[in-house]
Amino acid sequence: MEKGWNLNLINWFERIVGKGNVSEEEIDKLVYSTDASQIKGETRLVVWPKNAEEIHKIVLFAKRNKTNLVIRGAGTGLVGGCVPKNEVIMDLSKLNKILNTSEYERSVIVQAGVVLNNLNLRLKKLKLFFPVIPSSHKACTIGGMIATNAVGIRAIKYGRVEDWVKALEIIDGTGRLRRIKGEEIKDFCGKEGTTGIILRAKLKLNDLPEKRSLDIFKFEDEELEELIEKVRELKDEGVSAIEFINAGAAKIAGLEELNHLIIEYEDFRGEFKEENEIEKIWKMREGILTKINSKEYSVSEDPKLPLDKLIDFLYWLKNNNIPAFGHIGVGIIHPHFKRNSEKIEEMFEIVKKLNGEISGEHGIGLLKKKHVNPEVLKEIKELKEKYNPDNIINGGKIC
Amino acid sequence: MLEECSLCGLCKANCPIFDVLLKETDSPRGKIFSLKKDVITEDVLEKCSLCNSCKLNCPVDIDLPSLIREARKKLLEEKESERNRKMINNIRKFGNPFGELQEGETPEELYCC
Ligand SMILES: Cc1cc2nc3c(=O)[nH]c(=O)nc-3n(C[C@H](O)[C@H](O)[C@H](O)COP(=O)(O)OP(=O)(O)OC[C@H]3O[C@@H](n4cnc5c(N)ncnc54)[C@H](O)[C@@H]3O)c2cc1C
Ligand code: SF4
Ligand code: SF4
Repeated sequence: MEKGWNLNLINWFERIVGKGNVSEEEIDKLVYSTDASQIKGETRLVVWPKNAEEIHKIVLFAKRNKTNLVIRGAGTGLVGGCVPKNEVIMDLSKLNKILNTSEYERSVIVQAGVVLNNLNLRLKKLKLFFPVIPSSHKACTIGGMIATNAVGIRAIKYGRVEDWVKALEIIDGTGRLRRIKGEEIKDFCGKEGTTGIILRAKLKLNDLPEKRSLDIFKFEDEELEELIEKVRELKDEGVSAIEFINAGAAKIAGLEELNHLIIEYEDFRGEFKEENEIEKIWKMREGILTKINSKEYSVSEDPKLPLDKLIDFLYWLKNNNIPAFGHIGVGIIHPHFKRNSEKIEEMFEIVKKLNGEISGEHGIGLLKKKHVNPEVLKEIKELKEKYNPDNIINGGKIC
Repeated sequence: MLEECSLCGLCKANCPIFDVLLKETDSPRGKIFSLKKDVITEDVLEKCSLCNSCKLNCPVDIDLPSLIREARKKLLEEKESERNRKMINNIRKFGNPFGELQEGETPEELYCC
C-alpha cells in the first residue's frame, strides 16, 4: 500500500496544508537532513503545518500509510533528534503564537514553535520571565525545550523545564488530541517527541529579578580542589548561576588560559553590575559551544556528575586536554571531542564509575541510543505502547 | 569561512526574513548550509536583506551577508536573473518592465536587475 501512496505523497500533504507548505525540493531536503548535531540524515519530504487541525490530519494520514514523522522545532538539538532516516520532517516553526498571559496567575499559554527569547522579550514588559534559559535561547523553541526537558544557565535556582510546565496539549501517535496535566506531564517532558507532538503549553512564570550582578573567579589547574570548594560555598549562598569554563575551553573562547567560574547573583553583590557588561559576559558564555565546535571538537557531550565526584572528572579532562564548560552548579559538564575520538567511550565508562548520568541535558536522540540505561528504555517502551504504538512519531529516537 | 560553521543555529535569532517565512531553508543557517553544499537557489539568495544581524549573532563571526553578495554577483555574471528575465519579457509584452498596468496605476513591486 505504501508504494501506491508514495507515488504522490506530496499531493496528499498539499491537500492538508496547501501548496507552499510542503516541499520535496532538493535544497529543502538537504537543509532539513541535519540539525546542530551535524549528523547527516536523509529527508523524504518537509511539511510546515500551521495549526493543530493540520497536524491532526497529518498524523492520521501517517498512521494509515505507515509514514514516519520526525518533529522539528528550531533544530538546535545536539543528539540528532531532528535527523530523519528517509522520513517526513514536520517543522513546527509556524506554530509561533503567544496566546494568553495571566499576570495574576503568573502563567502563559504558548504554541510549541514559540522561540524562548521572543517569549521573554514579550514578558519583560510585564516584569515576568520564563527562567529556564539554555544557551541556545535566542533560537530554541518551547516545544523543543519541553521535549528535551532543557536545562538553563540558572538551573541551580530555577531547575529544569519540567518544573515550569502546568499543562500541555498534544497529539499522540494514534491521532488523539490530549490535554495533559499533573503527573502525566512527565510522559512528555524529556521524552524527545517519542510519545507525541506537543502543540501548546501552559507555563508557569517567575518575577523578573530587579537586580543582578556577576563575579568571575579564576583558578590555576593546580587549584581545581579550591574551585570545587568555591562551588560548594556558593551553592549555600543562594546564587542564581554557577558556570564553569576549564582552561582549554577558556583559551578557545579567547579568555585567559585558566579555569573560570562565572557567578550570577540576583542582587548587587558581584563585581560586574552594569547591564551591558553582564550581557557581554553572558554572550561570551553562550557562544563557547559554537567556538569549540568550529575548532574540530564537533562532539558536545553532557554528562551529569555528583558534586563530590566532580573533582576526579575535572582532573581526567585536564590530563587529557579536553576542552569543557558547563552548569557546574548542578553537575552538568560539556566536554568536547573530535568526531570518532576513542576518548568519548572512555568518558562514558568514567561517568558510569563515578555514579554519573550519560546525558544531563541534551537527551539521547540518535547519538546515545546504545548508552540508554535499561530502566529508561523500559519506561520509554511502555509509554510508546500507550501513546505511539505504531512508532510513527520520532520512531527511531531514544530506542 | 563556511567550513567553520557548526550549524549551531544561533544566527537564526532576529533574521527578519526567517522571522516571517519561518523556513529553515530561508534562515541564515540554512543559507550557509546550502551555500556550503553548493545547492543554493536564486530564489533563496534573493531572500536576504543584508542586514548583518546573523553576522552579529554568530560566535565565530561568519560573514554571511558578504557570502550572499558574492554569490549574487557570481550568479549575475553567469546568467541574467529571473527578475531580469521577467522585466525583459514585460517590456516586450507591455512596453514597460512591470507588467500590465492600467492608466495612472503605479506598480506594486519595484525592482532593479
Ligand atoms: C549553542 C547551543 C547551546 C545549547 N545550550 C543548551 C543549554 O544550555 N541547555 C540545554 O538544555 N540545551 C542546550 N542546547 C541544546 C538544545 O538547544 C536544546 O535541547 C533545546 O531545548 C532544543 O530546542 P529546539 O527547539 O531547537 O528543538 P529541536 O532541536 O528542534 O528538537 C529537539 C528534540 O525535540 C523534539 N521536538 C521538538 N519540538 C517538539 C514538539 N513540539 N513536540 C514533540 N517533540 C518535539 C525533536 O523531535 C527532537 O527530538 C544547546 C544547543 C546549542 C546549539
Ligand atoms: S553561521 Fe555561526 S551562528 Fe550560524 S549556524 Fe553557523 S556557526 Fe552557528
Ligand atoms: S543578513 Fe540576510 S540572512 Fe542575515 S539576518 Fe539579515 S536578512 Fe537574515
